[in-house]
Amino acid sequence: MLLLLLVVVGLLNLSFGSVSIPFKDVIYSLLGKETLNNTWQYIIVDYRLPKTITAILVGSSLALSGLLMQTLFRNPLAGPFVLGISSGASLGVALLLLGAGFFGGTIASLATSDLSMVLAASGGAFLILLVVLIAASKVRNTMSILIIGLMFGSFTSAIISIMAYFSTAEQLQQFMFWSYGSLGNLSWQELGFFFGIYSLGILLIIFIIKPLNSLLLGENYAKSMGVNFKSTRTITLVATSLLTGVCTAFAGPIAFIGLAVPHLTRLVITSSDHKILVPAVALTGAILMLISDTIAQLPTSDYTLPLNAVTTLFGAPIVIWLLVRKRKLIF
Amino acid sequence: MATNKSNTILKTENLSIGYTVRKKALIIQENLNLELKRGVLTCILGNNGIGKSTLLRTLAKMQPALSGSVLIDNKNSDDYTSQELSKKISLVLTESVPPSNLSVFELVALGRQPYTNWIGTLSDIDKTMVTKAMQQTEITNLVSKKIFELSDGQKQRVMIARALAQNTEIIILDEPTVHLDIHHKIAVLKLLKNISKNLNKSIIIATHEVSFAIQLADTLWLMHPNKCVTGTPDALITNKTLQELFNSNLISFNSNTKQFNIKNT
Repeated sequence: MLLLLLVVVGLLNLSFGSVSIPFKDVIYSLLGKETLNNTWQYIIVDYRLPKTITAILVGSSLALSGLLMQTLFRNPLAGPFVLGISSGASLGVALLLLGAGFFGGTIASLATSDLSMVLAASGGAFLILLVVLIAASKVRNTMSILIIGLMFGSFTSAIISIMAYFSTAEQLQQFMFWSYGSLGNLSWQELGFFFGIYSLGILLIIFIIKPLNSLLLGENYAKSMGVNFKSTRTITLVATSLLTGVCTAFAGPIAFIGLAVPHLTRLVITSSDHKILVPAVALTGAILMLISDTIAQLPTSDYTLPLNAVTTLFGAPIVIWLLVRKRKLIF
Repeated sequence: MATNKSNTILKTENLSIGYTVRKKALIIQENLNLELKRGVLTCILGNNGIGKSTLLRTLAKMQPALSGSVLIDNKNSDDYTSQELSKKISLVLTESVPPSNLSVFELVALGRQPYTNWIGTLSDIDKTMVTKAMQQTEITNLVSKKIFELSDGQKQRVMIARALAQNTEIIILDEPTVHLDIHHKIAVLKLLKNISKNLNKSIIIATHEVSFAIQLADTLWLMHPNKCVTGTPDALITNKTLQELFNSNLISFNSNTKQFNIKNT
């Protein structure tokens, strides 16, 4: 069902853009057949298709990161953005893009390479995640953990604004565009790299499906059922920071997908079994990301909205609704 | 005995329990030499803060012993991997389970995790064990209910069923009756008594239900400050150890009715 929806939304996403292309020709160019207009084929295959695939990868990565965080912290409000992980990734990228002002030319020359972007973003994400986790082991209260995460978010944005103050207009512009969030501009080569990291993250997640299920009962029960909690936690953290890091590096810090999608999925399929949840959350994340991107394109117009604005516009109400809803939040 | 299995399933040797705070050992109880026989229901009684939960946590290897050792089936518990240990000891804890979409069946089935493959597929044996555990705890009517729909008494039965599904020789429960009314308290305790008798499981319960413990337990572990006295309830009443359990001028003990009463002063 979800898979079918993904295909439909994916095709819809391919069909809309600043140049209007008939649906028949979209299909033709995908299948490699002749179309009426050669540029159409070029637009579809080299611009829109990579963007659609990016949307699928980014959406599912962020949604899965949110799911992992919510299970690990046993907190319904956990997610890559709320816990400051996205901010950590942003800090990594900021250091790379804006840090040239501080560290001179060596880093600036690295900035163009994808690998360094991904490493910086993943490293930043991992660092913040680690700090939040250490804080989490000190304070048992889950509300405090969220507040600590939010504080780290503000802390990193403060550092970023200081760096922004000292950087050149050109660097700043590059960073600002990145922070709006965008799925476009990825070459097939970059996409391949993205997919490699993505597969690694997914593979790690598949290996911890079983311990994640026992973590639904809490850390102590999980341990009593033979779960090696420390290694499970480490794998969860590595997978989350890889996925969040690679997404943030390529598409910018995208809000709310990680937090909202797992909840939406749980409302639709009433299960907590991660064998079902993991694929369902990944698909739902991909679908919502495609829809957000299609909306951001503003079909039939030349304008493109910042992607982050769109995800926030529908994400924020969902979170508020989750908070004011009387029924207990479930995992 | 004809079997070569020893009748003792768990034993502690000069065990000291407590916490390490800033590299200094904070001893709560020391020199504990306890023994748990197969198929025996044991209740741990003692004041708040005397170390009941700490003892349980140490026995289950959830926190390290300060010194001494815990032997399970004549093997030091430190020599067990967590996977092996999870086939020996199962737990029912005081902490509440986070609300989730798990159904009762799924939750009980989590008890099979030590036996399932890397992704947790339930074999036919696993499914039979889960169904059996649910029959033994009389919760088959709840099978497809969600956890958040259950009452406290039902939840406790489900957690006991999960421990049974884990198919361990030892089941450790920390205050399993704490939020229950008197009917459900007795129901849960009788259930545990039957499990130990009929399924030959060794059960350790930390509880404040003194009068029920006296009536139901095969053995009592009485935790006093700095010592732990063990014996059958009747023996402990005869040698007056039970009377001294709560060193309080508010309570008196009646050996005839085997009840603690409010002292009239």
